[in-house]
Amino acid sequence: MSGSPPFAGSLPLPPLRCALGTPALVACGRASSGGSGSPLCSSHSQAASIGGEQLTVGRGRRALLNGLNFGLPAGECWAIVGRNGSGKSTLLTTLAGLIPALGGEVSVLGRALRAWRRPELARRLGFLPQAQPMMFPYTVAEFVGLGRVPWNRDRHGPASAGILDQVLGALGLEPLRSCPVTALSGGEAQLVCIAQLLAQTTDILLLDEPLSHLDLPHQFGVMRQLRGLADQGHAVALATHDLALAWRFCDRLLILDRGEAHLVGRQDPEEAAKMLSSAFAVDFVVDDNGPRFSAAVPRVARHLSIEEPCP
Amino acid sequence: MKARPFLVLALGAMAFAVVLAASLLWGAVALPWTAVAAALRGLNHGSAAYAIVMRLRLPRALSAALVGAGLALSGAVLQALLRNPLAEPFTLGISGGAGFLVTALAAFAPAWFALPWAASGAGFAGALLAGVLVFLLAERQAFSNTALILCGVVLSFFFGSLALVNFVFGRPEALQGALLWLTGDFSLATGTTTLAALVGVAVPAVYIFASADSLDVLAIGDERALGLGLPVGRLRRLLFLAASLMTGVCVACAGIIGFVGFLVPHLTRLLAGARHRWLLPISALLGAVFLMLADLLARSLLNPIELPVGALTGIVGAGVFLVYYWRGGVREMP
Repeated sequence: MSGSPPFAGSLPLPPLRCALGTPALVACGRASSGGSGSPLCSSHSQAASIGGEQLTVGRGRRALLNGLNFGLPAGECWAIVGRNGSGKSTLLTTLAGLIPALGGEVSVLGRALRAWRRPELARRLGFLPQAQPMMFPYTVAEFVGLGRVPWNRDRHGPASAGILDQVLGALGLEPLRSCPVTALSGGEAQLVCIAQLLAQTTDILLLDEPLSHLDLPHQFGVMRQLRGLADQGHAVALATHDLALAWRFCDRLLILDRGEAHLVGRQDPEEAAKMLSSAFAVDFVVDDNGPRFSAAVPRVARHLSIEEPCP
Repeated sequence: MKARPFLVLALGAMAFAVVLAASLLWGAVALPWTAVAAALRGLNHGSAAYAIVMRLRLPRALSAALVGAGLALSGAVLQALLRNPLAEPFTLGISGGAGFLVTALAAFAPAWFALPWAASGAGFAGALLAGVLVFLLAERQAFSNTALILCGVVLSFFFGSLALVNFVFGRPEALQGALLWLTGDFSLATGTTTLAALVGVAVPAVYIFASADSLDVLAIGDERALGLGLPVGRLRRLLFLAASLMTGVCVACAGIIGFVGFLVPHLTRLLAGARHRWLLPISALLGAVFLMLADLLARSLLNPIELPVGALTGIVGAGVFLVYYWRGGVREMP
């Protein structure tokens, strides 16, 4: 990499917060109006936008995370971190209502997830799955525009077109507007998927590894957008392996460690170091610059085996 | 608003008119256009030209157009539902199921096979049965797996082998009819069969056209489609049913014709993009033109010998595909 450091604040991606002041997004104010989500781990007294109560998640019958209690309030951005197979994707998929919880309850904006009708939920909660191959040559604008499906039958209405332009601009995708998505690089395709999620303009955004395939400037750009959305009052949770970026941009880390989840805030670096060290089997120190491992990875070898073999 | 799809649609409509006119003018005997025009206006009822145009060529050309449109539409729908550009009734084994049932009827119940509509009914039933089988297989793989195409190829071989076994047991004269049917044939088209095909293709087509925007979302993946609020399970069942019904009608009308369902939607995506609100009508139109042209060539290239139209579409389709592949156009395929 040559030239100035890529995170010098001169990113080509303007923050979304000023651009997206549309009525669709103002609706997120309702997030704080009462509800049953119990923010047990969170020290906040706000009602949660999305939360779990005694939530057990897993694939098939195999439970990956047991009895979680948490509530993600509006205005916060959480990073979900943990080792491969620790349950990051499974947790997000369960929260999005795509697979059933094995136990307990998910509540979204004060209502049980089960009680939501899907078309209505799609206007409040958006979920970005892990990257999938692009099969058909939609143009970038068409593909991103599909994010407006929950909002209007006619996606070419003026409001949607405006949001589309803002999102494409915010992620620097304007030049690719009429490219077929099948011709994009992996990172560009990932950006297009993120843009589609942003175009959905939901109160809650859940993203499964949104930073994968992205170069450093784009990683920063996407994290800035997500941070900006949280500051506007959206609730954001993303699964990631990038601890440094997570620490820098997120309010809290939800650290998944062998079936348990620990919520650690930025104000408590020592606790974070302890939990990260336990979860990743690497000794971490956490200082102003974020987490980094302290020694020459002495504990890794012992813990590399997958905890639980396939049943 | 979008210039390109409109242009393709307009050119397609012009091609349709030209090929339809050519289908009425040319054939075993070439008719002057005045005679064709007179026949179309209902004049000269007793003349040979009237009989040729109104009883033979017009039903035949319109049948080919309807079947071409139906097969192309089924292909486009199946490709979106399975998120696989290689999916079509032929590669999924749906046509193979129809072929098996028709040859079985010809071999083991020749008396029934001789009844009018018997072959059509058996073909329709076979296509539906195979469609259900493919649906169950697809459901097991969460509707998104290249292995499903492999399953379809295996099913095609399986049904093809069973059809060959049927040939061992049947009487030659009964099997002659089945063979004609297996290779795809429009020579038996009448006004009545054309009308039946029109109804059978149009009814599912209305539902499919109405679901164009949903198909856009289904084609980008289940998790996103659910997340965008679509009733994925219900839509998939109904659209798969519509595509299978349509395939069944096409197979009943004309026998087994491969490659249209694969080639035409693929070509249309190249010309007019992937949005289904354009892809579906343009695919239907180009499918109609393609099969009408194929039938015209099949009956006039080696006049008076008539080539099986299914064989012709196979040869043309494979040729186009190989040229396209050679030039690197298939790289983006899974």
